[in-house]
Amino acid sequence: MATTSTVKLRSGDNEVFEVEKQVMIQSGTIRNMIEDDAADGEIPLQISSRNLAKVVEWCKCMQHRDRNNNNDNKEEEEEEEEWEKKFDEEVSEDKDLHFGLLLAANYLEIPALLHRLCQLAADIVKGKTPEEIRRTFNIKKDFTPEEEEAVMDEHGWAFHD
Amino acid sequence: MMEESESDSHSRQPELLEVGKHDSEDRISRLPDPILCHILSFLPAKHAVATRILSSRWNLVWTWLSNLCFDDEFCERPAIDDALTKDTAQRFDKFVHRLSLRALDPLFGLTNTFAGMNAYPRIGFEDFVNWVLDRTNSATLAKFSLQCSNLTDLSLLKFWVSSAIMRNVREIEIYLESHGLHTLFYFFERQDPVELPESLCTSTTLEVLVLYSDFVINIPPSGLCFPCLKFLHIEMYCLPNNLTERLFSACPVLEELSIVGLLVNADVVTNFNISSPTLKKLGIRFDIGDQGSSYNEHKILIRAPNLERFHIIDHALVSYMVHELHSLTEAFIDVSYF
Repeated sequence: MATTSTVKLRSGDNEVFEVEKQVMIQSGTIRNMIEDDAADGEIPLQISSRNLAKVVEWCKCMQHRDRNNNNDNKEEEEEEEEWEKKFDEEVSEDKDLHFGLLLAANYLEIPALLHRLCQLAADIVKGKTPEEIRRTFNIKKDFTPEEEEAVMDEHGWAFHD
Repeated sequence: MMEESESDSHSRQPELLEVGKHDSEDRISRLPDPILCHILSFLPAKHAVATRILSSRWNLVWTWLSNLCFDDEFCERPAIDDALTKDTAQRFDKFVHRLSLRALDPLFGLTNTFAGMNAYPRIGFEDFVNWVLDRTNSATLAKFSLQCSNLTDLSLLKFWVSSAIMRNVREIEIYLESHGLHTLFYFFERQDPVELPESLCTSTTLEVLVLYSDFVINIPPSGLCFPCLKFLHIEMYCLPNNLTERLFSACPVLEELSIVGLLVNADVVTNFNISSPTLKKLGIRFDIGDQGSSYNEHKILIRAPNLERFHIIDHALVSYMVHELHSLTEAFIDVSYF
């Protein structure tokens, strides 16, 4: 039986975050640990403190929002929207953070966060030519000329607007 | 600093990621396939497939797509938005306002049709849908969406929907501009409704169905259909009684229903029967389809004991019989005739 209401998460660079269990049960991985009574000590995570702090912040905001869902508090609602907007901007402009959070959300099994981050990534891809996408994400074209020709032949029309 | 390595399963922890040291690295290609597919699922199929040209890593990622959204880029479907799923009357209002703008603006279809005329080989679209359905591997589709301005071979649509159903699709959205309320041509010529496959009615995975066009759905004799459907949005020009009297009462777990209809034929009275013990949200918009239609005694029966939200915009003066609204918390009613 779990004895405390908080859970301790240790980041890959050894920073410990003590967070309410109620907040972290949004993570399937942590929820399973809590249910299995395996969350009483520190949970070591190979996630940097910067990324883990962001994940925790996101979970807190979402939990706060869900809890207040039935209140008609316009001010708080606006604050939350503002926070989400800032989160989106920050993530979209910082690839390290973005990809770090994607892996963290995937590992911690936080579907809503993963969904949001994937959507933000898609927004970056949207409207770009293949060459622009490569430049944006440092993707190296490693096809041989023959392979490239084969792909283009198959339906090259899809790659032109 | 730890070296990053490919992590392709939930069981492995992500590598420690440090700040500012990966600027020139290709981080996105190292994401696991399911995440890349998730990212691609937000793109129209054409753009998702086009990512295969990026590198050999990306060449096959798209084949695991579970969201297939085909858009021939000629038509812009009316934005249903999240009007009925979100919680405010304003949002609903906005949604209805947009719908009515589209429906009433005859130039809307025209400008869109001409805008894309030179950009896209029409023949390619149908082949492309077939090609993608053929090459994608996901046994389960989250969504199949089709927006198309002028599909010439309607049997293809039936085939595509059947294919999606066979792949346990959860959500289907279809908008054929030539068969919708929003085309220029509905004033002049009515297209035959599109026939949908019977397997649509019996799908045990379909939860969301959004139809923006005139369709025929054969409701099985048992009267029960769409065993898992929770959200139904229907937008139609021609609302035949064999549909309106049965469909909206035949879905055993329906929670949200929205109907946008043009009631046109002055000789035919349309009777709606919406009887559902599970329905929570109901949105209705009726318009008179053409200037010549005279006032008509269309009738709607609503028996929805668990209905919580109810929105009506009615410019056709339909008469309402409403029973058992014990759970109603919000109602918006705008009835006018001109």
